[in-house]
Amino acid sequence: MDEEKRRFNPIPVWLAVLASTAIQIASVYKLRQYSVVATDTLILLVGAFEVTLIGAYFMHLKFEQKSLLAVALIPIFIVGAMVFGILASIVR
Amino acid sequence: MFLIYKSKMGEEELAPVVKSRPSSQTAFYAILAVLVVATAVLVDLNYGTPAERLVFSEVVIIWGALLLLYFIFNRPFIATSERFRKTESWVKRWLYTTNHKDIGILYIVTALFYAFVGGMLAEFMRTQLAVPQNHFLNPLEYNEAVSIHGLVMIFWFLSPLAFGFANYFVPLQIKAKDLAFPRLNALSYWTYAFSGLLVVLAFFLPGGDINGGWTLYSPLTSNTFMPGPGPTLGFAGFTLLIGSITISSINFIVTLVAERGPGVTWSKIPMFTWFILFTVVQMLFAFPDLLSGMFMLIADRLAGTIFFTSTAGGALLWDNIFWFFGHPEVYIVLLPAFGAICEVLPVFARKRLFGKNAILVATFALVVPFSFLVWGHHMFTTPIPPTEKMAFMVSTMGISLPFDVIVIAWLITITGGSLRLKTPFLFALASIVVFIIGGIAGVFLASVPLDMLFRGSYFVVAHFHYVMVGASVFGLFAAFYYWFPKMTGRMYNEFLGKLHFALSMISFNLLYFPMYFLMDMPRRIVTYNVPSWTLPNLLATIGGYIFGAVQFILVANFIQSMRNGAPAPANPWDADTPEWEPEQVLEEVNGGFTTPAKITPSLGLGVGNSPPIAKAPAVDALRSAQQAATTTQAGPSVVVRHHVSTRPIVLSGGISIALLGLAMLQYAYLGLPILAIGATIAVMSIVGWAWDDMNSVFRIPEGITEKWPFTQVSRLKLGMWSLIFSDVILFATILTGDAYIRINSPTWPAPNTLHPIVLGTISTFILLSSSPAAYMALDSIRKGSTRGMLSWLGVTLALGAIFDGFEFYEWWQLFSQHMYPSTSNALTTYFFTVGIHATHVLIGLLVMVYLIIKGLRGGFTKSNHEAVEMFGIYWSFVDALWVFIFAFFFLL
Ligand code: HEM
Ligand SMILES: [Cu+2]
Repeated sequence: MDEEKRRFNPIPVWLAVLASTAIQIASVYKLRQYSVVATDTLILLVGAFEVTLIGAYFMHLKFEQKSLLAVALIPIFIVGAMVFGILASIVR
Repeated sequence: MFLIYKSKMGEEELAPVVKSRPSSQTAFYAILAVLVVATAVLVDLNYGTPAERLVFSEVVIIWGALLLLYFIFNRPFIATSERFRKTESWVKRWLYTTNHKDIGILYIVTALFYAFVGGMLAEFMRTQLAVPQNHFLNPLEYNEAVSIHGLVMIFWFLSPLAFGFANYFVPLQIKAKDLAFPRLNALSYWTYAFSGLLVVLAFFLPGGDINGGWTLYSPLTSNTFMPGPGPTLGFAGFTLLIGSITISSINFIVTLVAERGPGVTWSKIPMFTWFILFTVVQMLFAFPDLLSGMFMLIADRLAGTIFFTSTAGGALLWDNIFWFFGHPEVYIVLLPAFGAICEVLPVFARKRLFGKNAILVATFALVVPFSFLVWGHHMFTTPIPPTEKMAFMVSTMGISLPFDVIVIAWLITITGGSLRLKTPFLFALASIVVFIIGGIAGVFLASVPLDMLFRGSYFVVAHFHYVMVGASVFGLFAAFYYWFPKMTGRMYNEFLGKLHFALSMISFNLLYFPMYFLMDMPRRIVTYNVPSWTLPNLLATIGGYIFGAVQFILVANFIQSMRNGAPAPANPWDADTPEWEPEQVLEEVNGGFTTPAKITPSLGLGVGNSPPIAKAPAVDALRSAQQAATTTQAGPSVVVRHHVSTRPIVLSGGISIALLGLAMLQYAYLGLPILAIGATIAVMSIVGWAWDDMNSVFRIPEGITEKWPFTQVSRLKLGMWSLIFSDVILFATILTGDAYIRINSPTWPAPNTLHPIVLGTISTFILLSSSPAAYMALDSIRKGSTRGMLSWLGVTLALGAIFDGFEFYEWWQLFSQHMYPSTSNALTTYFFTVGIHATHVLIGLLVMVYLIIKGLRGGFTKSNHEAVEMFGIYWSFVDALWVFIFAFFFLL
């Protein structure tokens, strides 16, 4: 692939990642007192967004052949199965 | 196209012949005599005392060290005569080779050695169980024997045997020149070989070997129930093996995806290679899960964490982690044999394989993904929720369907064919028959109520031996006989082959069939006193003795045939898969490879991509390869791709010694020095490896290969992403374990109580800022600016180092408040998870040091900077992991 097409400006991505972290932290201080569940969900969703950004830009996934992206879904499927199955087996 | 071989070995070879020195020789024999006497006295004094194992182990270690010193200083191979010089070359060839065929043979031979180890343990157990109330083994010894037998047979014999064939034949079947990363392949082999030695050595350390069964059920495997350095060493060896397997799976995946020769599209890939692909995909995702489990287990033993000893994690957490790996593992040992059967059946039935695509689709679409969804069927007798048990029961029934497809396709393939009843075919057939018997029993076990009945009984022992010994081993025996002519250039003895087959089949059934009737006899018991159990056990033992003895027919056949067998034609079975096509090799003329020639594979082991041993001893051959690189450049079809490296074996040895020291650390003064020596050796060889890379001693150019659907992705990048995939599983297991413990804990500290958010935020900002810095380094070198790259790498390095500094600062803070991993569940998970992550950062820092040094020496240019890109991907991945870890411990 053309080297030129693989270039991007990292500063907006960097700022977006830092801002997301800031949102996470702010939610602990401001939101948690109202609803722990909502806060935790928000934190995880924002975290997932951050990881997507890092994966897309700093790990260059956005600029790779799409087949690589498709293959990256396999571990996600397996991780999903693991998290679900193991946590569901908790004995109450 | 050519690889230039550089090494110091050449010079070493010319070392002057050591003259005999009479006076020192006398002294030598005197010391030897004293040592022998001292050993005898020591052993005699301690025989039967509690200190027995410790003393024996020390004797073994001291003798081993002496022997090593003797070889290093006296170099008996170099000395004296031409014969010794040849021996030395021969030894060096096998120690330093990175050629896939050589390594394949090393795997096969080593696997057979471990089969002997595991087989002897099995015979000990059968002897103990032959008659009621026997005292051949005591309970502890029996438990060690069961556990190590199971582990060694599966992990050091069965799988490695399959990978011996995979090493040899997968590259041939896809017309690749070698595996994608030959040195890593050698590293996989040596870590495998040494890790088994560690596990065997553990028998002789205090505490004995692992004795909690091959499933390593924790907390049975914790310090409380299984104290001592012996089991720790066993676990360390097993962990090392997992490392080896992970490297190997990445290597095979990249090879299959990106190293296929021109024209070898996916549709042309032979069945054996397909099944190896399925196997390595499962290995890539299953083993990192077990690796996390082993890290937790070892941390429990050495660092005081309480993953499996507290009630929050405990036995059920181990069960989940182990069996999430354990079920895919049963397919991992089965599928290579299936691949071999798919090759053998059509060739000997002189028909095409029926339903090839159905087999492939059934395996890839159903077996591989579903193998990760059924692990709960090993937990039917635990108190997990009944709905979950039902779900696992259904998914398990589902996964047995594709196997029906496969078996039916095989049966149709052989019906109506004009069968040639040669040994490979007979073993393949036996494998199918036995698989059907064993599989039917497995279906019983998949049902919750029946499993309640059979779980932990000899019915289960019968079931898995039918599947593993019967289906897998017989399938691989078929492969053994089938490919023997290719590997050695000679035919095996058909009569001995058939004898081996017949006696194996009879004794196998005598050994295991009676166990189906022992439904009420618990497995893993050391002795019994129930009249109805006596006869089946006696029969099984007789069968076991015969079965064990019969295997020597195979060994004898091979040794004899390798020397004196009839020369094999190029394609003795009229098979149409590519590995039987004549290979191009270079013919050796006057010590140098000069004439390219088409030859049949009848020159002995390692023909083809490496020099035939019969003609050229390794070192000479290597020199010639170097010459050949210059002399034959005209012929583009001829490629010398022989490269040797001392690094893999030395690195594996160093790691193994270090692990021995680590296991002994808490128990003996010797631990620390051994650990230090091993670590030094390992570090030195890693530095040496980096040095080799920096000087392009061992460079494999990217060839012209079939790479669809990854036409744009380089070999290295595919390797990096495979590594990341496996690391994703590693961390997912750790974090899932953490979450499991957290949900199960009665209390958990709220955010900002245990770990100050401010500190965490600062370190998070620092780490997240290092990813763009790493990108800027890449961007600079893409534009051709080495200086820019170096500065940005410097920034990344500094940020990473500060981040790790913050982590250790927080650790230190906690320690100073007397908060340790053992203090609470929250601290156990925190120290462990952050510790593993910090280690990832540390590795990244070391890689950066390497990149900076290489950059300073002008190693990167506008067009050649892949390492910088790979590093950036790894580094950003480590950052992304931190996002979750930070959230888990600081925010949630
Ligand atoms: C490739 C060949 C083999 C494999 C993969 C294999 C695997 C295993 C495994 C996984 C176990 C369970 C260990 C545990 O409970 O923790 C086991 C147990 C056992 N195996 Fe094997 N085995 C093989 C060959 C043999 C042979 C040839 C014999 C007999 C001569 C044998 C005899 C036994 C016995 C007696 C037990 C103990 C059963 C018990 O007490 O629960 N195995 N084997
Ligand atoms: Cu299973």
